[in-house]
Amino acid sequence: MVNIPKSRLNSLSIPVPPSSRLQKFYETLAQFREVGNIVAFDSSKLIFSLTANAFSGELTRSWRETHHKKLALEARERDAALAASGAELPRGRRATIPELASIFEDLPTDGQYADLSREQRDLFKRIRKMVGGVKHLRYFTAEAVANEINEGPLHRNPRAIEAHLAVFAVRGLVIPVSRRHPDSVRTSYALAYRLPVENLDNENGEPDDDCRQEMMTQQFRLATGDI
Amino acid sequence: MRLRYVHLPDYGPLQDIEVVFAHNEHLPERDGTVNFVVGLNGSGKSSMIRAIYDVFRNLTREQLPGFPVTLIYDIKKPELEATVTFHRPQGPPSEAFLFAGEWICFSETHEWRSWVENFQRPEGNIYPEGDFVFGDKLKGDGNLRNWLPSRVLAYTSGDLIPWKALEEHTYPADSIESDLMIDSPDSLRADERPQGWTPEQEQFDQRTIVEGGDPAWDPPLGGMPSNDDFSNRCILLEPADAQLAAVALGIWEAARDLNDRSLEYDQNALRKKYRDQIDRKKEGTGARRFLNELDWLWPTHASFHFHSYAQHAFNPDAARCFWLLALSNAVVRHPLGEARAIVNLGTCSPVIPGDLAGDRELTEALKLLAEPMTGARCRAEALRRLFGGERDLHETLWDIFETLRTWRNHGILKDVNLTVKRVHRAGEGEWDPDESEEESKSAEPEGDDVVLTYSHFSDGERMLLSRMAFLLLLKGQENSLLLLDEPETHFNDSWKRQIIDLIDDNLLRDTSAHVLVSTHTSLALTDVFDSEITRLWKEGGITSINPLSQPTFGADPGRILLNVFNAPDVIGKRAAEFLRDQFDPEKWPPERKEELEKLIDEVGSGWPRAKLMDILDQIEASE
Repeated sequence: MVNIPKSRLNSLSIPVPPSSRLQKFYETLAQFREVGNIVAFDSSKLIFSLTANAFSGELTRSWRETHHKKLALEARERDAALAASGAELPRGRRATIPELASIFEDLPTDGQYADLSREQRDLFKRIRKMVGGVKHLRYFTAEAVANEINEGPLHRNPRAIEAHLAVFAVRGLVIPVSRRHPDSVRTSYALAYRLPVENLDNENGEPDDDCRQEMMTQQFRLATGDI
Repeated sequence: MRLRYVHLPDYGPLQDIEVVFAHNEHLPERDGTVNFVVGLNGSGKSSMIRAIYDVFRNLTREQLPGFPVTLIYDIKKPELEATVTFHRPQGPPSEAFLFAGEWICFSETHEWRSWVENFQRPEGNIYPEGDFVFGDKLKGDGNLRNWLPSRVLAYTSGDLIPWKALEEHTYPADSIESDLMIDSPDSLRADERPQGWTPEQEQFDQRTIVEGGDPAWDPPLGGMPSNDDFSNRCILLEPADAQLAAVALGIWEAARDLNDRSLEYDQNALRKKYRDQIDRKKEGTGARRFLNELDWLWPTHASFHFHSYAQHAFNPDAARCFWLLALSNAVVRHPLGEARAIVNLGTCSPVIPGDLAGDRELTEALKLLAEPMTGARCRAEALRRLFGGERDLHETLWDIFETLRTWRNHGILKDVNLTVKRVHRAGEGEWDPDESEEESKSAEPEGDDVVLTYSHFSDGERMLLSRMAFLLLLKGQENSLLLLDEPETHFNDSWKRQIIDLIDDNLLRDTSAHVLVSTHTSLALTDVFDSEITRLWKEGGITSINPLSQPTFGADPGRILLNVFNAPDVIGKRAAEFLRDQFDPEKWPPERKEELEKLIDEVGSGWPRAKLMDILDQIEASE
């Protein structure tokens, strides 16, 4: 554990909901308790549901959305303070809770996702769980996925996974790339996959992986003699 | 079109070879014709096919072939059938000519030869008996264009090197002379390109663009091969074309299958129908016949991988590229500026081009291209109409292929692929030995088919699909010629046996096309009349035509092996040598009877077995 001087901690500002809001939360909870008593409602379930919503950030979503600029600024200040004190931040940002939630959602069944076999859908969900939900590039291989899967026909079966990955690649659900192999003496390139990312989290202004609009504009301008 | 006669005085290994291509009269109701060139390795089969391709390749580029040749063929027009004579003797171009006149009914080589020898060239420009084209005035002659085959496709399963050598032009001699007139030889160096350069490469290779210079390609909307350019009528199909043809066929079939089946119910019914055909080995019609062999239901998505779009500045077909992107469900960026566009081929709400393109103001030309897509009820159909316009269904398979091929040649498209829904085979991969077949079938979840990419079909399956796709490209293309050099290589025996029937069914019944096939395969020839076969024979280094003495149609393949290919025996040498030794009855005294019985059990049915049985009978009789 890295030591953080108390003076630093004191200088950090932590966002707290307005007390009126907190008050309202307590009142609402109390009301529910009462109702629960009358109809013999299992209030523990309700509390569970409320706290789940609270932890998922659902309860404060609209507040956070209105104040996102301020929150982002504060988050940066926090990171800077941690960095100044010598704390090591993880290189890849962890997924936020709404992002994580999107991973557990079921896949769409239309467009690129239409007509996948059950095994392929399960595999793709698995891959999303493994490397998805983040806004930076995370690579994987068939072997890495095979090791991650504990049972079923795909368990330790990278060849079968490779065939499914080929389908995902043709569908544009994963992007196959050649990456420089780190262990080799001579320069060599080897196959890895990643998920397409939107709103890339970087400072170089790297473009998104969705380039439909960009290409359409280019072809439109070419076709009309604008270029 | 139908080939009638060819004379090659001097073409590689073929010296003074004359062939009359006969049409069999026994199978009625065929618009097309098929002929075969057979012979052992090195007899010159491939050379003969190449020579015919070379003639048309040169003529479609409005130039004379570089070797003496006489080629006579029929062209069928709605109002008349004409016989076209192309004669290019050794000597100056002015001696060569192409003449299209009344249909001629000769059937012997000497008749054709004397027809050409006694042909009277016209005195002036007017020739009352037909259309005449002078050999030294081919450029821009409308008659030449009118009387050439509509398409010539050549495919070889063998080495492409000798074919590729034909593709390269020789720099014309008169231009060499004019080079000498240029003052500064330095400027010539900038015009040099690596050997084997093509106009397409010139268009997309950025290194060749001189700054400030005006690029010499067509204006954006008019960039597809126009009617003026008919060199694309004669095409050598390369291995890279195989995948394009197969994908084109996939999209085309999906358009037919899915456009009228918007409801899930209809699709399930279709699936059931195909599944039934596949399971019961019932014969489908058209492409279904071999798609069933591959357990193929239909393709679900098409995927177009574009080269780095920095190169698209030279895209001559940007308008259609724009519409393809508009039809795509997603376009995903790949490394180094490449991109992949994915189109779900399945049903969609009726296509309205304006909605696809977004709200922007579209120019008339863009709208015009998209118009045929209007109302398509699946994206496969929209793609088909985008590439093929308003044309007849059959012709549009060619259009899809041709568009993809042009895009690839212009450096726009890197690769195309499909994901295909295939019938789930119980027992594949997850087979449980404790479960009986019946049980596993009923336990199999209905509707969960295998989905795989075209690249994941086996080598043989892809070969079958792409070669059959090549064949279907010509369906409905009247007056076309298909040259196939050993098309059955890599096929299993069952497919080898079927190939002629597939050609017959898919092409010859309703298209006036000519298919010329070179082959080694006795199995394939059981479907062929001997009149349709030209046998080349090489003896003492000289190739000659050697007519067949025995009928082949319906014959036993072993007979064909003996009669057509002059094999010493129908069985292998290893077996023949061993068995011949055993035919001496002296070798089998009664005490070796058991041994003989054992041997008979090991020998496959055929005359050697019969002979051994004979000996056994004798032993039994003597007992």
